[in-house]
Amino acid sequence: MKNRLLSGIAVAVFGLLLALVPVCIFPACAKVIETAAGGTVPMKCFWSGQAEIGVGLLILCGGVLLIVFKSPLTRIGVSVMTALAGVLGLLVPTLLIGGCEMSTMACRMTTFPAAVVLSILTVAACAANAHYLWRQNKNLPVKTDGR
Amino acid sequence: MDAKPLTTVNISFQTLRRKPFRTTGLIVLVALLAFTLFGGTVLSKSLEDGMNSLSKRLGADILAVPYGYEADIQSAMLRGEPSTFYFDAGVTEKVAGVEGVEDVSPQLYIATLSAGCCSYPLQLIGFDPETDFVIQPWMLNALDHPLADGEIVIGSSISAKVGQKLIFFNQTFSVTAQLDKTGMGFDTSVFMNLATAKQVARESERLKAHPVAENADLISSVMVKIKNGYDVKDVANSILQAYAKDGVHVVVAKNMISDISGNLRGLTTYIFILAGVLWALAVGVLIIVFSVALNGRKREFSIFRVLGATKSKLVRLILCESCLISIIGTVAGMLAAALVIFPFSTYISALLGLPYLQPSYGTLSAVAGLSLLISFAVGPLASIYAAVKIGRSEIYSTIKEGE
Repeated sequence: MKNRLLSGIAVAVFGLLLALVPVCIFPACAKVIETAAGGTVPMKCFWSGQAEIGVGLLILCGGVLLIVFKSPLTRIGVSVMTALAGVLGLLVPTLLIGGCEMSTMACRMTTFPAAVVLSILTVAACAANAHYLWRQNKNLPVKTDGR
Repeated sequence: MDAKPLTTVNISFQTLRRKPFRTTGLIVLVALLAFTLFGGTVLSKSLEDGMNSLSKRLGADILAVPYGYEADIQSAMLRGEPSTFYFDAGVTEKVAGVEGVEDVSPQLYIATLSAGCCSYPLQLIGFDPETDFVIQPWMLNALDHPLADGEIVIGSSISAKVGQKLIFFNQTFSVTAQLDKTGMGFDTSVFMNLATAKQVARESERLKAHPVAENADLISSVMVKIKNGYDVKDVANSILQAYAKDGVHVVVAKNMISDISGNLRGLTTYIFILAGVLWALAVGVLIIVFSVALNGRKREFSIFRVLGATKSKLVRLILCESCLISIIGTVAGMLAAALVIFPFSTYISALLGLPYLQPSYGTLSAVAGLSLLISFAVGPLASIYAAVKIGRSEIYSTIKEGE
């Protein structure tokens, strides 16, 4: 019960913080690109921020599910999926979308480092939780109904 | 449950797990110490390296600037904050005539505009390749010929490659070299010769009125090198006395560096005092906790002895418990410090507003090793007293005392 609460709350907090980073903690650059037609579109880092909000909410849900579900096998599954969501959170600013080129821009200076740190913490917490649950329950008989 | 052998490590680990609150508290204390020690040392070392980089690259003894812009030139050099200030180019000749002055070289600062995608106001620095003694000496590694018209050298933080074209004020420039990281304002600066800088100013006139476009005989500062045997202060005073009425003011480079060094020394002292206090606190708290725990665990230790454990086994148990607390706390604290210091290095540098240059991997490894050693030493040091005490006690008296 204590482990369930602790791991679930920790992961949920990391997810919430990750979702809040681009919104209010360390917002990404606010400038827009002017197109040839005279319109404006947001920069790459804005879309990275939006993706991080989604990943953060996914991790938050993972944390809540870790608290709600009692079955160790289900929690191992949720932990692994949440860890993978953390990996996605890591890849969005570094590989998949990216951001501004200059290291002194707001996104490169604060938003992405915060997202990377929170993603690393999420992956570490979920991997440790999955490992702990697996070690505790490796001799547990698996019933056909999954309980 | 798995049947584990009764090794010293397994017994110690189980003992620590039985008291989760106490164990967590002690681990947090050691982690706090490791965080301060490792994080603080990396921070102060980075500032020290930034300071060394500044003094190595600031080849001038005196900087002559327009009156009222002394702080601006420091901001431009330390933080790369784009600044625009000008006085007449004739000041160069005037300053060169002052007694004790060996070399003079003019510089022209132009700030780019901040607009559109990924743009960032940059400091464009124009210098005279024929007279320059400040910028070119440390550009030698990166540049194999004097800067020609239309050629630029960029700082390490500017995202472009050698050979690439960059556009400023609708004019295309060829990147001929990129400098290594300096940790100061030069990382976000672009260097060009004076003629190119004046051309940029003329082009910028289309967007915004620029004083240099209207008067080509303007410069931003004069770098001054004094002759051997002359005192910097005396020469600076001579320049001031002669040309203060023309709006010329001076910044003595040594004073600028010693001011920053003074701030840096203060910061480093605070960090080490804090680490020292935390170290003493951690050792003190652990000594108290182990002594108190020892009194409460006399019966437990007596039973170990009755079951066949030797005195040295009990000593090893206590030392192992403290070592486990130390190593877990140290690793956690150092990892936490690494997660703050390394990803946020640019942000920390911007917050401090001081030259910040991260040390080499070799230095970082040495700092990590030393921090690990000092933080880890807390546990074994604090538990020596408890270990010696239990090692000397007899089974009978220990059982009696434990009842």
